[in-house]
Amino acid sequence: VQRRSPDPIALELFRTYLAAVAEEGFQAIVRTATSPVVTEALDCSSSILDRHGRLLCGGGRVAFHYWAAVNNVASLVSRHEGTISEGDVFIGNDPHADAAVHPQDVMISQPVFLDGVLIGWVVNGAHMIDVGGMTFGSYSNDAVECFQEALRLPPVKLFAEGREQSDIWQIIRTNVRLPNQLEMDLRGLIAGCHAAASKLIALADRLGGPDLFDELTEDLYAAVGAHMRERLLLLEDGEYETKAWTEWVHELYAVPCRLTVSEGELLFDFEGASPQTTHLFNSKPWIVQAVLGPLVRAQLVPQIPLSHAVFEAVRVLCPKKSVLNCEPPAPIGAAHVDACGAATAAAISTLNLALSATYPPDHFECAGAPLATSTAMHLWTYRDGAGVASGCVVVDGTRYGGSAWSHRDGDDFVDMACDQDEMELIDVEIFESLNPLLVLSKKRRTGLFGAGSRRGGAGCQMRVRPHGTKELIGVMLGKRAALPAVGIAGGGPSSTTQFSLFGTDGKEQRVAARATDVTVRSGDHFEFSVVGGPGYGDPLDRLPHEVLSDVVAHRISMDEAEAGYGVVIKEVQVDENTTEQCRTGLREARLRDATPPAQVRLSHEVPSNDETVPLYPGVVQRGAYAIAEESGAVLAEAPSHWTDGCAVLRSVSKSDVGEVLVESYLDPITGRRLLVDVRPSNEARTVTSMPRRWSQARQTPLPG
Amino acid sequence: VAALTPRFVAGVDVGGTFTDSVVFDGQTTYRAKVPSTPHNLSAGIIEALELASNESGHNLKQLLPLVRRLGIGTTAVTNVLASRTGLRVGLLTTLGFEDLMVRVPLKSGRNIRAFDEVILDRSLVCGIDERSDKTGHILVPLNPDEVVSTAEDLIRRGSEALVVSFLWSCVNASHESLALDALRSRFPSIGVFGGAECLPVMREYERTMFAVMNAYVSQAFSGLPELEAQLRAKGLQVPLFLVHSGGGSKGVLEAARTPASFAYSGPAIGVRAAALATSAHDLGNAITCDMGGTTLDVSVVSSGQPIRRQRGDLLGIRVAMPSVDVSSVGTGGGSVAWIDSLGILRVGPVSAGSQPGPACYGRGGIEPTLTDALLLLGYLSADEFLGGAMHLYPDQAIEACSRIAMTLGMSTTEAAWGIREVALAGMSAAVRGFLAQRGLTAADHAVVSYGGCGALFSASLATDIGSQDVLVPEASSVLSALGAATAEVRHERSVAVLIPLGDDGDALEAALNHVRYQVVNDLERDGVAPTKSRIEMQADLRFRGQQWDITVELPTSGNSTDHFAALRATFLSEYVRHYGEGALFTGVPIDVVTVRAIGLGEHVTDSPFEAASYPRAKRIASNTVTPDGWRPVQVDRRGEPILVAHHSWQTLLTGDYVVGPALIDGRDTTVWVPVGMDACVTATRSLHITNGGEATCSEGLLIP
Repeated sequence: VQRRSPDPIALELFRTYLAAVAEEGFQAIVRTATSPVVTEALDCSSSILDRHGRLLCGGGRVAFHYWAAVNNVASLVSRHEGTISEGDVFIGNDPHADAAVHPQDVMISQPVFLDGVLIGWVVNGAHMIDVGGMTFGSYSNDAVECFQEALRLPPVKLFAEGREQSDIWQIIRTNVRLPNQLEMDLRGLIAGCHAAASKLIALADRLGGPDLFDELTEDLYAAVGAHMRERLLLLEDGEYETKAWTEWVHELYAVPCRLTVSEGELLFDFEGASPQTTHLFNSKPWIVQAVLGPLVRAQLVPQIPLSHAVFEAVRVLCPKKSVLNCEPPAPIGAAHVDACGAATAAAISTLNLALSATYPPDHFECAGAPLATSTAMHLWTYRDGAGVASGCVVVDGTRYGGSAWSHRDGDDFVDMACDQDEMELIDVEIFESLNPLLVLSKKRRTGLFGAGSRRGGAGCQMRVRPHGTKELIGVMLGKRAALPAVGIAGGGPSSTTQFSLFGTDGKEQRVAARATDVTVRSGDHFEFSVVGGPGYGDPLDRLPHEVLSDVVAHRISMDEAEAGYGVVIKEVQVDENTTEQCRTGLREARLRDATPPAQVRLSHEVPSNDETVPLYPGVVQRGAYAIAEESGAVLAEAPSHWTDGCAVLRSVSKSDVGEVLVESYLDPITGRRLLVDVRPSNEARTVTSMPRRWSQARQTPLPG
Repeated sequence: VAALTPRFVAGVDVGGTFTDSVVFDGQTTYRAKVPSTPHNLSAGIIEALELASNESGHNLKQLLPLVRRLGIGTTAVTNVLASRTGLRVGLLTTLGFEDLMVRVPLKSGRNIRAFDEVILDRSLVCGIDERSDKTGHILVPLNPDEVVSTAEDLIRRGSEALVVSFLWSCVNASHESLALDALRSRFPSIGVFGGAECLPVMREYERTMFAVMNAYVSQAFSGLPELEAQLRAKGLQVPLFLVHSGGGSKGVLEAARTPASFAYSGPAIGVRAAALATSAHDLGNAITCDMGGTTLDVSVVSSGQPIRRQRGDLLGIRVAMPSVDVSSVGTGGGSVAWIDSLGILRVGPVSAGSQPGPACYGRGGIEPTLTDALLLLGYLSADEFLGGAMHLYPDQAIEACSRIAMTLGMSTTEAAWGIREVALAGMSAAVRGFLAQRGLTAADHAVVSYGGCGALFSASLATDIGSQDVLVPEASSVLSALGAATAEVRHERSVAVLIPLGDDGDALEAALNHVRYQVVNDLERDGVAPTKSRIEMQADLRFRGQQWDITVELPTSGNSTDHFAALRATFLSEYVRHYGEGALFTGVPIDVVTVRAIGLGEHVTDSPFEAASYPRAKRIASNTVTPDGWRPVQVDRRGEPILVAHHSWQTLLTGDYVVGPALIDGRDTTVWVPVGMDACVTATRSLHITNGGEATCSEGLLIP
């Protein structure tokens, strides 16, 4: 049967009304829930699904909930097929049952009926402060099995045909630490379901009933799918690889990624990921997809809203029983954070490699450096003035520095959950009003991290002491404490997460990123520093006046401006002549200290009738040759990798996870930095870019 | 000569392009319109007043002594913000927190320059070693010498105005006062603003930003004393009042204290005027819609009063600022229609503005806009647009729309129909979102429309969102000037307290007395006699741990026990009203966060709305008028246009009653009365549109 051609007016009206439905669901949650995580940090969402369980539209700030909603309903339907009725409301939070991305992000789902016919689903989710388990907050560094982490719920009925299932409520209330707050937040999610569902019914009714609603759903799905394929066809076919790691004190867990782009299809393959472990960061393929989808959309199809076909286009392959595809009893409390974060960072790096090789480049707005998703989140428990035990999550610990983009600097105080939207910092006065802590300072972290022609943003650095309580007992949930994130195009790596304790003598004592029972006594100071973003491009190419601005804004010192950027500042002015000399000197010094390539040839010495196409920022392909754009130096002959012809600077430092190698690949003639790789010293280069037109480039014999 | 009784009320609304004025003698309204004079505040105002007084048969010198009230609304502050031409501000804040005051604006889209480069330069933010805690207890004493020497340095480096804003100054302002005193005596010619002095509310960021904005725009009112002097010289006996963002008036001196609170003067006046119209028609609650060229400004009138909020944003920066709760959403008359990457028709947010404006303005615009679609469909008349003041060019509209129609594969008329429908859906979704965020429903609100082409949509919008009544006041420009003339004197003073309900009655009474004393002084400074003023008391309360509070009214007399009892009762009932019975927490303490006094001057009676007695009967079943003519209007998506009666608003009489479908052309706007609805001309010559009889509004269906 030939499909009707979709109606471009009806589709926009449909999309606008759907967005309004999701927004009303989200607003109802925010207005009725009580915990600050929901009402202040807005860590919640409302998703609208069609009757097949495909995502139509999402509302709220946490975009990775949308795909979780899809998986939740798929799991729910497989468990309850045949017994789903009007008036049912389900609750679920177990990632092993595909119900939620981690146990604290509880999902409430409601089937929506019109005239007795199922037309779709509303799925609302929010982060709950505590869902039981061995540790307050349900993030446990000590748990080795999912049974210890939290109360685990596959999708089960909270309401059956409109009747409240009070026995389920009682089970839930019995198993959590703050039952009143949890119940309030759950009722907020239910209120959001009712708000969205009633509007969805009204919309479908207005459209003329379930059949016409369905027709528009199909049209929208088809239109987005067609557009995704069209955009993906523009990407350069090939294979692009990077490797990331997630840390656990002294241990490293590998998360390699190979992206295959082939005729409009993307496949992110995580073959080689470490086996599942007994730490809380084990994950699931669909969770990686849920976090990755919105990020891929931002780079490839920024103008269209997230819907089913967008997520579908982001295919992932995770080896069974690995940290990215775990099975029970693996703990899974941070399934969307550590290993998943490493996976998405690696995946976005590979996508950047593909974008960098795509010609013409103006199909896509920009490429950014890989994500440095990181966190210095931690929790405190204490007794307040009245001696009552209580606790808090320090959300400011999640504010890291954003990665630099090809066209601008990274943002300060970015939050992982909301990378696509602004979130506000919690005011010091709000934080102090709720907790017996005094904030001594809260600032942008300073230093030379993420140096580049575009620099990384700054993370949050905050110092506190107990005030109104004798001591604080803490659990650290630090990520990226040893291995910084890699920059792009010669940009410098990010900083690393740090926790420190300062005794009354002022002496600094480092606190391990996964420490539990950290005690801060009266008179002690505690400080955390979140990672700043990696950079884009060689810092010696940064405009001197921008470096001056960074100095004036207290981001870097004058000495750092000179050492890192080669910019000499005198009396709040750039000393242009000295700067030029300084930069030349730094480039020469790089080449002096670097290991040179076996031979250096210039592009005019090799056949050059072919078109010049991009390979990597600063590196072009001409026929079977990779050429450094600035100097014309021939870096490699296909299919060897372009880095083979670079001069290479190496430096090794010690860290909690062993020796860390920083390797800079330089233009062998000018000393310009093309790539800075960071990895454990026993590992091979992490970045490999093999567009098909390079790996299959015709080899022409050299003249003579 | 015996003194004549002042009997005139005069108002001026200074807009971006035009300055409107009205003079009202209790019987008749006289009006004038002149071009605005952005570089000379006085000139345009005096000219507009002169012209309006001439209309009334006086010259200005004869009229001014007879004026008992003169109110002005001005965009002077808005202009400074929009053109970024404020002063360079130096900020002194608590040491260790400097970076927090230079964040990226909310919803910046991450592509615009950071705030620190626009308004507050990080290099002009300096830390002062001082600290108080949340109880106001001083932990680190202030050294005023450090303040002065730091300020000297700031001024040397180019600061033109100074702000002092310390942590917890909302609870204990003694450090801030010390610093302000030291700076004012050392730098008498420089404007010095204090965080708590401008608005002592909790949340350091928004409090500080409000003070910074005040300093930034402090030159905007530099011409005010001169204007007041000129008016006095011409015989004005009463003080000059300005309308602020809260929809009330303040005297010239008070205006200089917090000039930033005048940033939303224009929209506030509009809502204020709409509130007058709503009350005059006994409609109670209303959604107010002001459609301009680029946006639709939405607000709500509740029981005759504009709803207010305690924080707003200026240039995307969140600031603490009491104001009328107005929100600008997507679509205006100049919004451009386009086709997105999925081939779907979209309208806005890009706008053709007023230059070049819609294609049909004939000023070189080529993009199809909403106005072009409305002309093409027949809703607007080329000859009668703005009462015939401006000619439109249908050919240009057709050409612009035909291009988009071709891409969509449909007729030009159908595309224009789509543009109107998509714009309407966007407005409807935005209004729903606005109501949902505030926990309101449309059913018990009328829609009041003023400005631009809003009245072509208001009846359809009302049907769409489920509202029963539509009110279109006759001339919006006059309405705004009237709003300015009649806005009552309104001062707000608040203080952050953080008192557990029932705990410390003395502290509560002290705080209440403090703010009451302040507004009494404010009113006195504005020349309002105590017999002609009243004071309202409010408190913001919340359950401990919550972030957002509920504002409740307090009895103006009684002791602390009465106050606590009243607060608890009102808070709990408000809470249930907002969130439902099931949302109530029990056993959680309630905190009083802020107390506030509102000083209100005497209400200016006998505005034209009050003077005219309006028959309360909804419809006068008589006088169905004969139209001026007939215009073909394309109401349905396909098929032939229908012939629609059109009327000139000027020739309609009170009690006339127009059956839809009909168009009514006024001086400022054209009104669409859809099929099945009818419009009644009220005593104030406004149009009251209601659903007439059985017929339902068939317009606006999604599917053809």
